[in-house]
Order: sequence, then structure tokens, then C-alpha cells
Amino acid sequence: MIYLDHAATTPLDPQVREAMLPWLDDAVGYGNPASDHALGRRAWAAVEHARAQVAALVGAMPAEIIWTSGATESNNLAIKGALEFRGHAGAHLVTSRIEHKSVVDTCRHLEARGVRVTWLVPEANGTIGVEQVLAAVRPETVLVSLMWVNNETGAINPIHELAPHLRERGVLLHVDAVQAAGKLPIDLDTTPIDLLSLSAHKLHGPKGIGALFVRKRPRARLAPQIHGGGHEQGMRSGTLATHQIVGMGCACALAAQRLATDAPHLAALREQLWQRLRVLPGVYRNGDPAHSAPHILNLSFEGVEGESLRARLGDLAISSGSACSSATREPSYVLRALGRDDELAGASLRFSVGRTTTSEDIDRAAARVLAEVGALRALSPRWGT
Amino acid sequence: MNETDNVYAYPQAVWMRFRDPRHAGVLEGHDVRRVYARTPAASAVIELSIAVGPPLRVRFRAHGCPYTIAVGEWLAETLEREGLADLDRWQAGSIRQALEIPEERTHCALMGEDLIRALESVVKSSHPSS
Repeated sequence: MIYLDHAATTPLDPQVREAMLPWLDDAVGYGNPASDHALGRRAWAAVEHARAQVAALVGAMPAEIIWTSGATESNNLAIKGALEFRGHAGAHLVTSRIEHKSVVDTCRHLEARGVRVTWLVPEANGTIGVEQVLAAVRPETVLVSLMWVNNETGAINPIHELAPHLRERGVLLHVDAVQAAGKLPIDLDTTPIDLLSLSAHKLHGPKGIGALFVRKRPRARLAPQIHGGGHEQGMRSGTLATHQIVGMGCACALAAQRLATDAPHLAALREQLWQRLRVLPGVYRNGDPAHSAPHILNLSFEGVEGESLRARLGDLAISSGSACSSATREPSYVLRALGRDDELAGASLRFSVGRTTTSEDIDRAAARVLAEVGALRALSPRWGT
Repeated sequence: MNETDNVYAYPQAVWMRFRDPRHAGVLEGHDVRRVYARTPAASAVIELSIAVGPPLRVRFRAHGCPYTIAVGEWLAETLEREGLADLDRWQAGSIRQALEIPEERTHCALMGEDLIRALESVVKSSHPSS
């Protein structure tokens, strides 16, 4: 099996695993970080150390990091929390059609409760433009929620350029940075983002733990979505999972240390894969490589059907988006914006490389794709006629 | 079979024919008849080419999901084995049953039935007295 689905999840780094294990230990690792005794204080210190590690990755203060169960909860807390704090009546929010489901569904939930939502569609390069966002902002706009890096194509939204404009207008900016953290430099000290979602398992950390950055100055105010106990400055109650938190802290520390080496390594592997596959006729790269995160390569293959291609590539762990059913087939906004019709969008594969991917993995994967695309095209009455 | 084979758990009858089609290709010659069926919504197409012979030979080409390709292979192998008699008895239901095609993929079996109806017409026009 060749694993090329790091945008979905990443393997746990051995150093992260090592850091987590003592906190699963029956002897001294099980204290509740909220308890005021030796075991509790020990766990609390570990949690705070991890909080500082996460903050350091994104240029934040430790007190601005709120633990959650993952990016889905972070996105829910950011969007629902901001709108509920302000009050739904007359409120407006701006987001895009290409967000993660945890943003799209949360915005739909609010829309059903009377919040007005503007749904932006991507430009021809797969990104959401600054001018598009600013044109959608109204006096009653409370929040703009956009992803930093699109999980489908790797396209990078112009967050650095957008953030100061929204700050000037007094509009909160929430950024889902799940695909950006550890791949792109993030400095919240100089980029006026108000709320930013993170996930550990996209960074070689454990599943089930994430964080939400909530800016202190100027203060981004949220209504809590989970009540009881007043943990995490009252924004997210619940006993903290010390082992998960320590794992996320360690993963973020490693990501920060390795950013300068990981990003070029990932970009080189991605380009190696593209160079191997571009020899095929009728293969299209989705997204602008000049404005793309280093780990994602999205390609459409003419003359093959997506489900069949993926079925024949069972030895590769890769992602696709389509099924052979007219009832469930949904067009991809991103790929349509890039000029792909529904059929080509359905015959697209997302390859996402990671820290542990090797050049040999890329060569083997490329050879398998070339062979199976060739086999399906040979079988097709529509190819070459 | 290893863990990376048939990871999406297609019915074995479908998987075997999809993974290793024995009757893929195109026939040429004066005795070759060619028929097509397609489902525009799914952008799938199956083509059969039949050399009436003797011996009867059938090859197929297909563009579509694994069920579509398996239907093409099954039709080719079954036509070669059973010949062109009694084509009117071939229905989508029998194709679905033979390949264990689930209900949500019935359109793939219907494409197979469309091919058989098209083949019937070709056979009748070639032998109007039969």
C-alpha cells in the first residue's frame, strides 16, 4: 500500500506517540488537569506546555488557544459561537461553497435559524478573491469564514491580504487552517485573523484533538457551545484529554521545527508525481501551482471513469469525489470553477504527500496510475475515436 | 486476494470481470455486427462487436463504472456460450441476478438489456425471415 492521502489524515509520528504514552500510564499520568493536587497539577502543567507549543506554531499567545475535539468542533464553536454571541437577528455571514462540510453545514444550520449567508464561489484559479469577499460584506456582516488552503486542490486563499481589510471594517475573520498549518508559515501576531481552527491528526498528531485560536486583543467573543464546568475560559467545558493534548502539542512543535524542510520536501514530491504523470495525454492539473499548498496534487484524467480508476488502484490510498449514480453525483464547485465538466471532475484524483512519503513511493504510484489509466482507456470506445 | 484487491467490496462476479475482462476488444470483418448502449446521465457506454461466424465470437468495449464494464464482459462471454437464439428472454433482471448488481446500479443492467434489444434488431434485419 502506498499512502498518498495525507490531506485526509497522517500517521502518528513516533515522537508524538512517545510523548503521549506517559499520560496513559496508570501510575502518574491519569490526573485530571482541573484537580488541585499533585497528579492534577502535573497533568495541568503538561496541558499548558502543549498549549504553548500549539500557540508557537501559529504565532499566538498560549491563552488564545482553546482545546477542542478536532477541527469540526473548532469550526462549529467559531461560527455558531460568534453568531450566537452577537445574536442571530439581522446577522449576516460570508463563507464559500468550497469550505469543509463542518463549515458548510454549520452555516446552513444558522441560515435555517434566520442568519443571512452569502455563499461565494471560487474564481478561475480555485481561490476566493479579496475583492469578492469585500464586495459581499455589508454593515450587518458579523463574520467571514474561509479556509486557508482548499482540501481538494491545495489552492491557497489570500488570507494575508484579506485579513487587514476585514479588521478595518470591524468584521470577524474565521479561518479553517487545517490544511495550512505545518505547510505554510502562519503568524497570527502579524496577520489579524480573529479565529483559527487547527487539527492534530493532519500534522502527524492523534485524532480526536484540535484547537481554536480565539484572539485576545482585540477580543473575539464567543458564546460557548458546550456547557458545564467552565473549562477553557468558559468557552469549552469538559475534562481535558491530557494524552491527546500532549500529542497535539508535540506534533505542533515538530511541525514548527520541520516547516522549513517539510514544505520543500513535499513540494518536490508533488512536482515529481506531476512530471511522471503529465506524459499522459489528456491529464489536467487542477489548480494554479504558483498558489498551491505543497502537499496536494489534484488531477483529472480524460477518457476514464473515476470510480473504475479508483477501484483498479486499490493499492494506492488516494481520494476521489464521485460515484456512478446520477442520483448522488454532485458537481465539484472547485473543479467546475477550474473549467472541468462534471465527467472530468468525476475522473479526478487527489494525491496528497506527507513527511514519510519517499521518492520511490512516488515512482511506484505514478507507474500504477499510468498502467491503470492506460488499461481503462484501451477498454473504452470513447478514447481515441 | 490481498487487502488491496477489491477494497470497495464489489460482488465477486463483478470484480472478476472488471479486473480481468477476457473478451475486451473490437472485431473487424464482413460478418461483424456492432451494437451500442449508453446512459447519458452516467456518461457510460458499452459496445459489443459480434462476428456471427461460425464460430460466433463476441468482444466488448466499455466506458463506465466497474458494474458497466462487468456487464459488457458478462454479455460477451454469455453470448459466445449460448448463441443468438432466444435473445428476447434476456432481461435486465437476469443480468442483475447473474452479477449480483445492487438496486442503485440497476441502470448498468438496463444498459445491458438495451444492448440485447439492439442486437435483436440487428439479427432480425440480417435474417428477416427468421
